[in-house]
Amino acid sequence: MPDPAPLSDQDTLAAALAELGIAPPPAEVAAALPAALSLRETARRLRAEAGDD
Amino acid sequence: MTDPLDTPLAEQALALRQGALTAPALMQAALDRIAARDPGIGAVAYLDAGGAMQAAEAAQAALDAGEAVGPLHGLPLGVKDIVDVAGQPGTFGSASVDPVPAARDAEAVARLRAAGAIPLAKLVTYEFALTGPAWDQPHPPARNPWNGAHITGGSSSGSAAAVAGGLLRGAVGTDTGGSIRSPAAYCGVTGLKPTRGLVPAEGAFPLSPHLDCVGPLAATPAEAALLLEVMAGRPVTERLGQDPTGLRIGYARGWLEDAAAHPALLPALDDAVGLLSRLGMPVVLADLPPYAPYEEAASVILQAEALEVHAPRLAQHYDRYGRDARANLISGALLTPEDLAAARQVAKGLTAAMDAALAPFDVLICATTLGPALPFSAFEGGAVWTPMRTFPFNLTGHPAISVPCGLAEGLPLGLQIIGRPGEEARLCQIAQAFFEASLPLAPPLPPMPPRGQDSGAP
Repeated sequence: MPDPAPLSDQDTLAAALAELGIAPPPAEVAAALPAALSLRETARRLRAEAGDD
Repeated sequence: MTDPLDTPLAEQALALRQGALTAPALMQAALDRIAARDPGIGAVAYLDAGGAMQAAEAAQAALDAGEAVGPLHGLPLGVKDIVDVAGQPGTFGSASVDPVPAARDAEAVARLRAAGAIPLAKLVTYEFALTGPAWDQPHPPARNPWNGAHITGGSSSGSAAAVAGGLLRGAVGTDTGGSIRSPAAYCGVTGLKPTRGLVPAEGAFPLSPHLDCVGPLAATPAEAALLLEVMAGRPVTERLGQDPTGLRIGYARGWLEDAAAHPALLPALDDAVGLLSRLGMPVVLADLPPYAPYEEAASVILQAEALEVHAPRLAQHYDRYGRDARANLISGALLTPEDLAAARQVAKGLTAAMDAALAPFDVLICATTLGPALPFSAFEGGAVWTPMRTFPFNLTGHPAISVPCGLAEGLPLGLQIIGRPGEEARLCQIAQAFFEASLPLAPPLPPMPPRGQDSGAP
């Protein structure tokens, strides 16, 4: 069996929302993606600063 | 004769106690103002005219009977529509809510009511105190009384517009990233975000519990102090009128040297520095830590907590939330509990750095926003980030007050004064001294009809 293809960022966001029971239309997930990725990037930097990583 | 609504709350209260004014006449004056001006402003989400007038009559009966009364006895106030008022329906600015009358007052409202205040109206808010002006909510956005084509700022948008429009002298707001101070600045009124935790948030719909603060907006700093004193249950007015000579002010000018700042901003703030100096307070440049890390840590906390708060409702009512609120909330879904914990950890270091920057001074000053209120047309494509300098003090918990500070393009700017935790009385002392020494500013509002020619007010 080949490894499954990695999730795209949009799929990752949709999956995170699905875990919360939230199922936005794909177009809304796509529209929210830049802000979501920017926040995640900021959070990663903060974790590094906090000595988490 | 001066309309009683054009006099400060303390003077209204005194006139009521001395019999120079009756509580029903004062309430009628507020109702007349709302009837005459709110159609052009849109600050009011729900008006309890009948209940408020009944309460005013009861307040007058207590005065007539010589009963002991509280400091706000008989005074009409407004409350942001995410804060519960017993018997009044709340929409929280969202079409996802089926409004029902609140069972009880929020704690801050209960304290105001116990001091004699009468909650007359729920005031328009951005949806759940998120994002910005939008047209897919139960009420259209409030319009800025200085220019109806411009936003009020938010999310305490109706609270600021009601005070600026002269509908009410004071109102309750909430502030998670600047939602009291920025609309106060944009509308030319006073907004006071207290020290985190000073006013109980119980009964205010949460946005980000780590950052949320409940506080007052008012026509003057002295009135904001009076309202906060009641809401907090501790002295805030004690320094009003005291000579501020010798108080040390640190000017966070470096935070304003930003490409997004309006060209009129720095000159207005520099003029404010001159005025504060002439009032006897030495002002020197303060070496604040870089601004960006504060906004970054606060953004992560806000977005993570807001999604946590809203997720159960969003799962049920996704399509009934407004477009901008949906987009805002779901953008936090990639954040993890570890991210939130790290942001809170970083916030501790940033708070210590701000404490150190404040240590040589009694207060810091900065602008509230980096420019005047934008026109509604700027929001036609969706939410727009309006640059401000308020968010850091939600993160650190320091109290901060915004007071009017000149005009740009005919619209108000705000001076923000930041103090040590628990030193709201100091902030109000300085803000009131600055306010009294500043040139009076008033929006171009239509005059009220002469008494006796309007709706039959006494």
